[in-house]
Amino acid sequence: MSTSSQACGKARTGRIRLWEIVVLVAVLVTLATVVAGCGGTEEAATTSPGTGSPGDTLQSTTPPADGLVDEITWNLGYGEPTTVDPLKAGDYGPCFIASQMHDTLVRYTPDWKLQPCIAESWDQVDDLTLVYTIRQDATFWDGSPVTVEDVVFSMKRHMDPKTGSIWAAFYSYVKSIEQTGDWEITVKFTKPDELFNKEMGTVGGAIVKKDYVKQVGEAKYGSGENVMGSGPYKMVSWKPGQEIVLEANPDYWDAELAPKVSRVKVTFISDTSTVTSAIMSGEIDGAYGIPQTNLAALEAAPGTIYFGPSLTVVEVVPTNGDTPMGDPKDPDVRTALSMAIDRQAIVDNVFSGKAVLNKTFTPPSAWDPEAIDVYQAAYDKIPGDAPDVEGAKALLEGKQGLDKPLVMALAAGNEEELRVSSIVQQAAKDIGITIKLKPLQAMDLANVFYVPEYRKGIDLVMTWGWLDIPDPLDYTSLFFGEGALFNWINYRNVEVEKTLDKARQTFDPVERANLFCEAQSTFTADTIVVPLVNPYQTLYMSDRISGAPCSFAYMWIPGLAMLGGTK
Amino acid sequence: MALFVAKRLVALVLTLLVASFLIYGSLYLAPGDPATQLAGGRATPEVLEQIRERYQLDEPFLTRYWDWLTNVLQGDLGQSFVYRQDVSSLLAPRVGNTVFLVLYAALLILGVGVTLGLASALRRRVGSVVTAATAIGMATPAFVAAIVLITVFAVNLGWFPVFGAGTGFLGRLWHLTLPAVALAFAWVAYVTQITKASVREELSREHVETARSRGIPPRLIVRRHVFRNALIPITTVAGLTVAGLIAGAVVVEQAFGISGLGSFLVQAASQKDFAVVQAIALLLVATFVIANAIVDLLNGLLDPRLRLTGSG
Repeated sequence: MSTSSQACGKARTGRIRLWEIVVLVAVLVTLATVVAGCGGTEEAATTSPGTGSPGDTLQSTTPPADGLVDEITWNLGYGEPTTVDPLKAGDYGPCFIASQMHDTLVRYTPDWKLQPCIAESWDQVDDLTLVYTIRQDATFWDGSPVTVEDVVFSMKRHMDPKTGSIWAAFYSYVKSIEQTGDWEITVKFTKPDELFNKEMGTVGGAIVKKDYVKQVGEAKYGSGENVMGSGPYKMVSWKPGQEIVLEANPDYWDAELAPKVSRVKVTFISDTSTVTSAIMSGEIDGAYGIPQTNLAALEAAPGTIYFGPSLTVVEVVPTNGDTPMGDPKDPDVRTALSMAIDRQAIVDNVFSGKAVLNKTFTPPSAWDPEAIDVYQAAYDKIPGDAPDVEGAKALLEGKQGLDKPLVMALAAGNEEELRVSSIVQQAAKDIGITIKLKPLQAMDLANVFYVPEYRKGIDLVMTWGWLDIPDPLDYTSLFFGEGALFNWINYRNVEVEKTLDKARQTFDPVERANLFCEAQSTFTADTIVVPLVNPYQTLYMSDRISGAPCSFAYMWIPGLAMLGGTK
Repeated sequence: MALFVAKRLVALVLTLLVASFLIYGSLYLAPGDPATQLAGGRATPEVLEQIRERYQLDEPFLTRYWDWLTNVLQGDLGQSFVYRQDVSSLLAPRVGNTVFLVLYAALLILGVGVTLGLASALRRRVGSVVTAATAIGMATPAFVAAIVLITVFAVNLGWFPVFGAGTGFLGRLWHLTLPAVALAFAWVAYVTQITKASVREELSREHVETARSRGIPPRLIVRRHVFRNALIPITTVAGLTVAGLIAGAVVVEQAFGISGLGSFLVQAASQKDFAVVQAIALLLVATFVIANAIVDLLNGLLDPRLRLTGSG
């Protein structure tokens, strides 16, 4: 009879008790939180300065192709968009998708030339008045015309604090936006703003349908399938976690951008090895932002990798004004760190040459082509092409408080970022400063960026940021002045702030470049950030398709409509 | 029987209540401000304030928990504040994928595991080969199995897709074969070992020897006297396996880019998306409790001496 008691005992041990279940699930959730950190693709934030120039293999466009294609799969490597509302879209994925579905007031070409779009023309009547003439033949997907009322509504949405627009800063100099004719809109400014019209070519100037937004509700617009644009692709379905399906808009007003690909399945695979396998097997036809660390594996892929100019900047930003590293009045420690870093080594070793070193706040790729000589001359005077360890050591002579290790936050699970960080860490070590790396998950890193409490105990942040448009002033407002979003150390220099403000009010490109470079010479010497490199934009397309833009302008233009079949 | 079910139901509800409170609490206490991620790229203090207010992130814990609980009792699982959509509409397409994946893997595990276990218990020679194979199987983590399977069967041979869950029964079967195999890998080894051990144990029992000495055909002995008794530990292990599979699904879903509950739980927990975490966690708890109840029921049917007492 021992059999029964044994069997009984076994059955008992198999039974799970209530508290065991609770503990098990709690452990699961904790585990989930931890696991989330690894492989977490980091979409850091729109920060920092950058780099850039040379153009060995760089191209803004890819060979055009005009074959018709039934369906392709396009992957967003940074994960599923949380919204496709242009007003709330601030990351690569959401901006790219929002731009396929919405027209903007003005539109960029892949090499950043401003073209008419929903505004068929614009006229800077005087320093404080900008007049747009709206085209009459654009329609939303439901067939209704894009009216002046829709345009005014779309713009004013950003100025309403209740909508929580992340592009509200674009409208900070705007006094009023009004309909002044059947097809005319007049924007009045409190101060002249050379940036405004340029920024209307981003999702900050995207047009939504007023009645539709009112109908679904401001907060709901852009979530799920609740979207109504006038762009070349329309939303067909959004299966959460799985795919967004876009379909060509057969009535698109712009014949030049009539879509040649009927359906685009947008997937959100973020696991880089899965993306690589899916590209190799031909299941993914296109993707932007292929990690540099995966490029070698893709050499045998059934397609091509393109490199284009980007406005992305990798840099180290000081977080704490109370430490020697962040002292707003004494930049020596930051400057010494900046001097000790071998930027070319980062370009060569981490990016295999697919990046340019960057010596100041904004990358050369952001220079205005009309004033390139001015920017170049100023840039040439900035040191940083090669490391100067002895000079850095001399600068640190007699500095106090450097024996305490510094903490540098970075995105967990990002291989490139980790490798860049180790090079910075080594450079610091060479001049006697210890840096400890602190990898953070996406949410924790975002907290460090935007919530002051979370910056305690952290001295530096490794960031990947971008400029929205190629204009250095697009970036400066985030760093200069009291309470500027990324002015964490409270760096103040009245001269710099005044000069930059004057530059933003200057419409002449050369005059503006002179003003900017004047400010740049001061703030670069004060090392408000430690600039590192400007990585190239990467794009993969399978052999079936071609034509997508390869510059960072891909964020704001309907690149899918430029695609065509190669066969 | 009715008493058993009733008691189990009460236990289920109590478990869910306690678990929901603990999970909500731990998520609340964990450091991190979810508003920053929601804000997108440029979270000015004003935008953050807006978000916190709209989603009541600043409310005290008990207020928020109570709000959540009362809504759930009315059948409203709440809204994901990351996606600004109803949790139910976010979960619906994912539940199917995960259930399909877990059942598929469970079938593979039980089918292959029990067969191999039986074979190796009854045939010595097969036994040593299987033991070696299972040792390798148990030592292979799901993500390693996933990488190997993808490389060989999806990229090189092109027999199966690399990612996605497919639609329709056949589409799903095709898409989820590699993930189910990856998920089943280590568990097959485990179930094989358990089956082998418990069949061997039964084989050496007195009543089996007696039956054998009486000349009852071996096939009948195995079926009536060995396998049936050996099934009790096997069923118990199978119940635990389901729980383990759901946890394992997290890794496999991630590796195969499958939109399922596991990968969604990881993501939601890292973003502190309360409503989503709660809903998935409760689904998991309920699954565990129910799987456990089914195991008890089955064991009772297999062995009448194990009377259902309704305890648990």
